[in-house]
Amino acid sequence: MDKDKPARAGARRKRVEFSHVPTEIINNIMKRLRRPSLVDLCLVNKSLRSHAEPFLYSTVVFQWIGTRLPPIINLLQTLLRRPELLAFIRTVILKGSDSREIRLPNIRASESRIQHYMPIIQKLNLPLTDVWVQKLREGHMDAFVALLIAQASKMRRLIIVDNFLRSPDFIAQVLQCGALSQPPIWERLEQLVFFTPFVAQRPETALAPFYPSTVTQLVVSLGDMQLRGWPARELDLDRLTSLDINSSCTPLMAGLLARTRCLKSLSWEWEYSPGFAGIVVDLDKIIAAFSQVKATLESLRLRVDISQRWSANDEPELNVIFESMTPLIDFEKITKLDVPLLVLTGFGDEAESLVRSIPRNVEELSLSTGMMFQEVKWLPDLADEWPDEAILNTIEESFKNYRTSLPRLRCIEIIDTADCFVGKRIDEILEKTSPVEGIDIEIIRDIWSPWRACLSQRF
Amino acid sequence: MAESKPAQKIWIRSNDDKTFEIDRDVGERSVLIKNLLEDVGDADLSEENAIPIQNVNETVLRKVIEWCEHHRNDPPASQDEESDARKKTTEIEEWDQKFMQVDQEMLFEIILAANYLDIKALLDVGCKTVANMIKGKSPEEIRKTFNITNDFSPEEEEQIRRENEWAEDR
Repeated sequence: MDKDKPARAGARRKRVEFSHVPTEIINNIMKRLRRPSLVDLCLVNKSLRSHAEPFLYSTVVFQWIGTRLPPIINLLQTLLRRPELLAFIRTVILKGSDSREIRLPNIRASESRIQHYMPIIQKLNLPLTDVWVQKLREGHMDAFVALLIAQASKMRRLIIVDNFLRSPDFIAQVLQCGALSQPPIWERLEQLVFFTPFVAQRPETALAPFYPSTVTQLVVSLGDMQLRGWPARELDLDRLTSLDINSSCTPLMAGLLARTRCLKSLSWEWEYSPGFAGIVVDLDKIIAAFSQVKATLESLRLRVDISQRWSANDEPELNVIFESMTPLIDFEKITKLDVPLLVLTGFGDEAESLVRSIPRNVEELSLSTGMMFQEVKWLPDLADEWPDEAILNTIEESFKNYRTSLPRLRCIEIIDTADCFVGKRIDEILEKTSPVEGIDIEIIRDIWSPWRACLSQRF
Repeated sequence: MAESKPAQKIWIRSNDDKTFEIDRDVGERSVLIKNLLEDVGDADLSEENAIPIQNVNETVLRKVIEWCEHHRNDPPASQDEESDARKKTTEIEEWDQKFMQVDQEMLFEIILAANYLDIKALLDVGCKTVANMIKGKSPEEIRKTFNITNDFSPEEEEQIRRENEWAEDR
């Protein structure tokens, strides 16, 4: 309620307009606008241009789909003319499609343009100058990408995937040399996604993303690279808190995990590529590798999916070694766990409920179907005819009296990574009743891609 | 059932000397007022000692109070809402949309008042409203909407277009 008093004359301020509001408010408006609006604002007047540019240049996104080249050369030209804009670049996202079946075109850059880039490359002083210039002359995209990321020294996030990593070696070299130069080129880089799932990599290329020591969140693919252990003892992984990785080399993973100090989140896709005569999945060794991060790990995702790359006729021989989840039970900090449904079912006749081996403080449990696609026999007899009921029966059996062993459990997800194993019927069943008292069960159909997950969660 | 306790009253005064009596929890939507109240102490709260809101006039303060009354029971903003992904959203709930249907001068006055009084949620609604007024408009339409004079020469405009050509890639 207000008390009437005469208004004081002359108290009214002068007219307020957009151009005259304080900078922090204009910035509050700018941060809500997407790229097309920021481009338009740059053309409105000089004042708004100066406010919009830092936001426009803070995130550089290029998509490379098929043979259509992204206009990276236009950006490099602008940065050449106005190098002060480099200070605004915080995020670089280079993505698109993965067009392995087509030959990607080169960039046509004139010799005079390349001559303009020479002082930049020389100033960076990385031991790659000659090959870099040669690649620019030949029009290789990786040389132009390297020119962009090597200049973006204030960058905090770099996401580079798909066609941009068709030839990952040179960019990896720049990443490694830039990280090792004194001082390092990128002193604030925190999130790095360097994901080449289908490219056979040289070890030096695969390991390069581990060099920038400021990185806390890393998404990387080691593929089926086989090494006896972690080869790069000098690498500093002390700040790494989140690692999304695909690798089929357990000794390498164990060595890598041993080099971390504060890893809280680990997402490991057990990866392999066509060409293996047979596959051995030693889940016991994989779980043992986790012991390296037992003191720090809060979230663990293990995906072992052998179903997606093989047709029924050319499936390789599969040998799964899996005795016990017991080493995981002592991971007291783990609250989120995502493991194959297999861990609940065990094998055939020896099947037993392994739910008591799941870490005690787990709150969110996800069970993926990946390996089951080919190994339906692990499930009870119902599986052939009624796989949905078989899954639910298995869960119901496994989670009897779970409240004692998993007192904090709040939800269970069934992640259908094969997108065809779990039928529609399971949704209908779950609508009526949950097989676990007091726990919601949700079906998620998800063909997992770590870098896409990374994009959707954080961008 | 026990009777609910009457809301504690506080008094705030606009820069043109209009005093408003409001519930304390309504006033405390403003971090500035909340902090002042903590410093003042209950004994000193009175109409005569109304808290001066120096940068806001009666008309604007009345609108701000209306917003605070409607949102008096809102939960505090969670940390998630500060994430980069959320910042881009310009969705505004229906009541707030109607509330913000004011002339442009009043819109900016409300934004300035929310900024001064440190009412983050109101500031965000105001900034979202302005962002929505910009979205989808050409530079010329933005100039018309906000009464902004173009101070670029045609050559400069062409240069800026070329500079930002890379960002036109969809």
